[in-house]
Amino acid sequence: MKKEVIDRRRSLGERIVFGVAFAWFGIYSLSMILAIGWAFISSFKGNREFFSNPFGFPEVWRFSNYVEAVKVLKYKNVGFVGMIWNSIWMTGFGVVVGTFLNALIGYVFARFEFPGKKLMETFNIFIITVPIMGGGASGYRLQYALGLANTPWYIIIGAIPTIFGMGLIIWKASFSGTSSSYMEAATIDGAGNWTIFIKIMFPMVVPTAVAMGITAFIAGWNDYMTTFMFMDNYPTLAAGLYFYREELKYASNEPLYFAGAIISIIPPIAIFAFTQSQVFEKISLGGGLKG
Amino acid sequence: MNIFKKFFNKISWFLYDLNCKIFPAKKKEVGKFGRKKKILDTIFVYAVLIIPLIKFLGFWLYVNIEGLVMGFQNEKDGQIYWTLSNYATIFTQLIKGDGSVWEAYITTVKFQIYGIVLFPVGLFYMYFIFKKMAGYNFFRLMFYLPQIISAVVITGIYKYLINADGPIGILYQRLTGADRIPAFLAEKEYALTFVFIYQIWVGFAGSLLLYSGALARIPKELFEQACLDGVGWWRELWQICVPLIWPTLSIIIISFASGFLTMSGDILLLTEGRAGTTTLSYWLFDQIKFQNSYYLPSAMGWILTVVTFPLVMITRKICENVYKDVEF
Repeated sequence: MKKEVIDRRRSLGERIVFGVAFAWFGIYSLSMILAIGWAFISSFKGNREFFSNPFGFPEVWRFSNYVEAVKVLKYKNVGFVGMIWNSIWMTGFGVVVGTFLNALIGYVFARFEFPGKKLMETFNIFIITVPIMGGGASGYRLQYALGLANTPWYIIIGAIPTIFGMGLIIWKASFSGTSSSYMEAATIDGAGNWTIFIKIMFPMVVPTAVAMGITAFIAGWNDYMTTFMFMDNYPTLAAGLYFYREELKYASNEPLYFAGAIISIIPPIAIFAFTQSQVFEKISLGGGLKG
Repeated sequence: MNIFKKFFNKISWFLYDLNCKIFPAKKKEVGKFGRKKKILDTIFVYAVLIIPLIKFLGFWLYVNIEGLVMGFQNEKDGQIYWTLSNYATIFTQLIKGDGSVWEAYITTVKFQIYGIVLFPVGLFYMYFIFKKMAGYNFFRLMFYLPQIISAVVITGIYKYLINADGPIGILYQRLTGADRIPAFLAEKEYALTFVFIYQIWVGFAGSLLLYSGALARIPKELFEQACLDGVGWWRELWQICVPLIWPTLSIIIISFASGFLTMSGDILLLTEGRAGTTTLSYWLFDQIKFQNSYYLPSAMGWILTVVTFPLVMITRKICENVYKDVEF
């Protein structure tokens, strides 16, 4: 990526400030690297060695821990591979369907006038700023009462957006930034609304879609709360790791846990590292709450 | 006479303006963009919105109304009865200043204060990354790492790092000369601080994405001009960047005010709410998931909503008046 830096000589004061910032960021980055590095090293130790020598290098590098982890990490008869599969489909479905539908809704708000639009937009701002928290218990009960919890239906219904929320602001801002002349030209050529959206408008916001999709996928991959609250029979990898420790408490094999953890963090880091430029600077709230 | 004429003039213009606002002139509908298109458009819009709308009505509207009702109910031996005891319990605790609700409240307030104090620091982080300082790509990835890695894993690592055998524990002992290293997350004196340190360690990235999007929208010419005018970095940050990304910033500030941010996940992973680390949102979560209590948290949820509402409105008003909104 080309560096768009305005070529100017920084004053000494500025250089000191940037230098301090650089050092501070460097220390922070080091803490992150060391923390993850420690987890990585620990994953090669034996359990007893882990407790007797938690912060040194392993005497013997047990690569077998990784194989063991895949065999041992289970929750409710769902094995490691099963958990990866859960993570993939639960996240993937939600991301693909959710992103598309959210984009569609944002498009409709950005480009069409219809009765009730102003009301909904005002309501949206209200919902974003004032979180209504009275529905937690009721919502929890409802999912179980409707028989949605612990079934794939929870994910399917969950992927449908409820219109209101930050998503609406982001997508509306995204589509408002596109030119309407394409839409008009297509209409003149006889294209229907669906065609226009799928063939013309949605492709124009692919950068935003990709950015939202990637962030949503990573969030979903790391999600353990969904399993915890609603999908006990379908543990994701993150949930599996959590339950492994919780269930075994002091009997857990910590290096095995870290081996599983390291495996679980590879996909999101890899995806993110390669798509970083597509995610940052691509999501904007436009004019903010004023729309 | 002149005065009356002026006055009459003013009134008539005022009424005319009002009329135009209430009954705006309609655009003439022509050809392909005429009535048929309007109908097709409306059908399209509602086809798109109908299912999400149903979901909204069921999973938001119904749920919240039921929550409101549940706040006034309780259950005994399978029988539901009406009662004010939920609200009574909560208010008594808050007024007397003791009980789990009260403690959760105090903890929440502390978190909010810490969050507000640290907010400007996040701005500095964002600014230096934006200015593409040396190594910014790498630093950006590092800041974002906690968002990419599961909280389960990071809290898992953190808990060991602050163990008695861990580097933090040993550092603490060296610095304070204490004869024993406390179990930081288990003891009331330290637990909240260490939960908060965790938050600081992992927490900055969340808004980073939105900030970077907002900053990217600022026209480059402005920065070039500022540079030519000899504006240093401090002024650039506070007099150019912050005002121009104010809409985004105010959304984040308002979310702070509506506070009671959901940190229940991290608290669950770090301490399960023990040793005085239960915030109000964790308390709600704990009631629903672990205590199987639905009526008390419903009442609490609504109290929180009612209390936050004016706070949020005031914050919004203040934010709106800090910087004038600019189009670009």
